[in-house]
Amino acid sequence: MKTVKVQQDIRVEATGIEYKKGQEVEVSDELAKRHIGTGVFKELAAKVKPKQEAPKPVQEQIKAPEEKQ
Amino acid sequence: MATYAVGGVEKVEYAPASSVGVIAENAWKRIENISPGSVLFTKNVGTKTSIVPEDKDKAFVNFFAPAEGDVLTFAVLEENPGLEQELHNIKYTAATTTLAYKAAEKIANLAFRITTRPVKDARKQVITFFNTDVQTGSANNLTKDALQTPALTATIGTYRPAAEEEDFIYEKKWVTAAGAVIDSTAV
Repeated sequence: MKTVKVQQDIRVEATGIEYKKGQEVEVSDELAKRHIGTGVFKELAAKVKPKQEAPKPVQEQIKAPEEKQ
Repeated sequence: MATYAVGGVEKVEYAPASSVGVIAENAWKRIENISPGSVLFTKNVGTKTSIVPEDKDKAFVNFFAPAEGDVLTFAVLEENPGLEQELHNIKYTAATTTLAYKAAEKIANLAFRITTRPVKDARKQVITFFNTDVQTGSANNLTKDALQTPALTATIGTYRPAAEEEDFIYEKKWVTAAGAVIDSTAV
């Protein structure tokens, strides 16, 4: 599947689905391949889930060695 | 099951001709008030010459000469100065809306795009002639019940899109009544 932005209204006869200009939709790779670069679909970067930040390491307080008198 | 009936005229547009079949969408200008029943596309076929052997009754061989260029004709109900300048050799003075027609005939090199009406199954055809040579005459007398109309005869030439190795003459594209592209790929 690919995420595309519809640049021109298009009806797909095989499925009966009509995509409207301005929509951002997920379509099959095959459909995307036929219409990306023809002015009908524009490929959008796949949405990536934000990574969870790794927990910060606990800073251990290191006591300075006591000076021997 | 969808059918593919073609009829009527929704709009006619023109633009400077393209020999590569590429015309920017904003280059098209509409020609309004098309004369009723005047739009005609004539597809010519090549002339056939046969040799019938003296001792036989049917052709031994047929030769087909290439046809003359196909022709698009139509007339317009008004003499719009903008269109007149495209079609004729004219000196136009906008300040007085005066058109002075020069002696030399102009052959206009234009592209035409005809959008038909959606007559069946909510789909219509967009026919594009990318490269034509247009001669313009005049039809009808100046009478009380008719209009003098510019009559266009466009002889359709060829174009060759980039990456193609053959010439093309026109393109017919099906769209929905609202103008959406139709993907007819069978799954």
